[in-house]
Amino acid sequence: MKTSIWLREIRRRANSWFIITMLGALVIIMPVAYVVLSFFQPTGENWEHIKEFLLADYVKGSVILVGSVGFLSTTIGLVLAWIVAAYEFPLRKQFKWLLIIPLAIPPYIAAYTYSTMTSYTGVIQSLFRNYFDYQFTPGTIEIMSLRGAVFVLTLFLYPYVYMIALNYFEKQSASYIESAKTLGLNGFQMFFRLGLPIARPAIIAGSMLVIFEVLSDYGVASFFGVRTISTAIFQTWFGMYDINAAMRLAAWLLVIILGIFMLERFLRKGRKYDTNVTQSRPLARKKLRGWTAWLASLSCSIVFFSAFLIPFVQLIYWSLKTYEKVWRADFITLITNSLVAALIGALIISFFAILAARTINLYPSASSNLLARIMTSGYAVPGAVVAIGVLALFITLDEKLAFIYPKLLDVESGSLVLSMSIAMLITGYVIRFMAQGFNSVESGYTKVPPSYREASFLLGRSMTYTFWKVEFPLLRGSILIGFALAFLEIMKELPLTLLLRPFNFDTLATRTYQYAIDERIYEAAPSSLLLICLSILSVIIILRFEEK
Amino acid sequence: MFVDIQNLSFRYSKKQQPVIDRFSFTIKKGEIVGIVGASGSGKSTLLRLLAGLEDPTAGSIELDGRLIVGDNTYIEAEKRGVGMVFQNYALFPHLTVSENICFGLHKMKRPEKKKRLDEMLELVQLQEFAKRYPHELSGGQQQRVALARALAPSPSILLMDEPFSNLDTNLKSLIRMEVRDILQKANITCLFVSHDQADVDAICDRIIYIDCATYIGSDKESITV
Repeated sequence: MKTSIWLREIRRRANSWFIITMLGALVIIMPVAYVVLSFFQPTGENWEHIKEFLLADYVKGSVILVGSVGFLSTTIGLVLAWIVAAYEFPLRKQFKWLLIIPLAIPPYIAAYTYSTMTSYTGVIQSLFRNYFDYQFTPGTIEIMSLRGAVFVLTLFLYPYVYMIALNYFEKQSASYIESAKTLGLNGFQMFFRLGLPIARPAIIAGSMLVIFEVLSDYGVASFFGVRTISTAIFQTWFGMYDINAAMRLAAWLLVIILGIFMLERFLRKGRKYDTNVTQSRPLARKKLRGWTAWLASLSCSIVFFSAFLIPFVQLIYWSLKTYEKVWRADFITLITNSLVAALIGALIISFFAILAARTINLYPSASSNLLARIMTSGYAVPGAVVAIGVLALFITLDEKLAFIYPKLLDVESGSLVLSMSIAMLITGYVIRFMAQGFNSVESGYTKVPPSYREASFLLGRSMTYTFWKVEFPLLRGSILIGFALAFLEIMKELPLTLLLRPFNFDTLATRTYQYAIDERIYEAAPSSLLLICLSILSVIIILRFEEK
Repeated sequence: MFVDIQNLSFRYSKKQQPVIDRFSFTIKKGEIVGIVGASGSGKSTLLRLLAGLEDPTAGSIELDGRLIVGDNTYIEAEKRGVGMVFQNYALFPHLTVSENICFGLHKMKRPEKKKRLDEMLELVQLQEFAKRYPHELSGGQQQRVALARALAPSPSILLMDEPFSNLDTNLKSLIRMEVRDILQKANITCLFVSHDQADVDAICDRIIYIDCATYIGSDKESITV
């Protein structure tokens, strides 16, 4: 191609849509790059100490937690998805969405709820003591330490696997299952010889989500005293005040995540199924009768009760006892803080998600695939790592901009402006949860054929007009789902908020956590309950629009 | 010449063979020209290049005396004044028939727009369907809406990409006649792409055969594949 034609192409594509998208991608990649760069920086004696005495423990803790929770929640999610997708039984329709609801309960809230409920003074042991005159041997049912962390994380993260697997079973597998039936496979054989192998991409995708959530978790592990790399980053930061050592830990966590990605690649290798079966039609469910039907309902009930109803009811009970004491004027501030931070974060996420998805849809190429990768990379990076990258970046920015602050704002020279503002927290949210918004909008674009846009151009309409009048109305549902998902995650997010919030800025999540680690469990209930209700609201919005 | 294409080349990626290779041809004003070729022969790509939906790797296109693509020039699709009927019609599903037709009439004032809409609805005989949505219409009706929408802003040339491929065989001949009448009434220069010889026979003044991007001949020169 001639140089003049190259230049012609560059001029054409460098419009404002494209430039803003690239800026967004830059903001997302900078903090992570910063963390990676810490490998090349000298470390202090703290790091030598951590490396010698603690690192092995942290890694071991993370690996055990990831391994057990990954396996258990994948199993539960998968079995439930199969039961709901392949069989007809009493209350199946209700369970189908009830089993997603546990997603609305942040695991750290479940952690303190369950650990209190199962303690000596908790409702379960008192019940047995007072009514059945039965004493548990100490340590039999208490939900604590590593066992507790595994239990809680499993119960509240399985919906990730459940949702993806269910969608897959319902939409993709009809033709396979029908042909298997004609070949005479029974129910169990069908699950093990067919359901499991064909759902492998969905299983891997779902368990990857669970693994990333576990690696990112701070609340549950710190509550139960499990040593993981994420909790270690906090301790190094707040205990030793050594941000360089914390950064080095974060960089090692990124190395582990890279390893997991490579493992995922390896597991998927050579197993490329065509998931886009063109005649995808719903699966005809087999009707269960008699005890098998009740068994199916019972399994769903057990999971729903333990992963939602029991802790929820307990929280209501505690809230009724304490709300008068807790409900102070600053409670309203907590709610506004949570809502405002989540709304702003989700709005910015939706904005960049639309821009990026559109750029990729408009100019499909290798570089736009890279853009998609960058946009979604945040979901794999634990909150603590994002936080540390953002903090380091903002402090550097403050140093570089220090000379200009006294001229623009009413501050003394040398004061920190950006790294003391809510902008830092919001940036963290945007990086961490961009994937939620982006994936939703991008899948929405698959339903808008390019010819709609082309027809609009040929009718003399500009790119911006075309977006608002043609693409936006057709994408509304997907944008809203992405918005609600990002909102939900931001509301629940703990580690990022703890690390990046401005001084004296509390949200429902941080206040709940504060009460819980101060052993004021009952007082933590009202804010937990509010947080859960707001989350349920977003889950309902997501489910309603996904049905359409 | 009304349309003057010189040495046009195009490929979808560097690894592939060019779909169109140094292709040149011309169209006179008011002519209805048909392009026939097997699928994959680059005939739809030719339309997309003319419309501004793909960028050529080399060559130039002139339309009505104006250079729209050259080494240093590229007029964007929305500024070319080209009308196009897509293979799948691409009617906006969230807009009614009249909203679809008025979509490209943004430069007109309201009374003028209304007048143009009525003209178009009359031209394609869809007056009673103005308030319907595309999914409430039959395939043939949808196609006429697409035609009306493309003609409404008075484009200098109309491009049609396999406009009959989605229609039932028994409807086809009837609709071909309708389209020919509409095109004659509208008195417009038209480039029409099809893989079906019968389509172009029924509609076009001149036929061009292309095969893998190289010009084979026109019927006047009596060269066929």
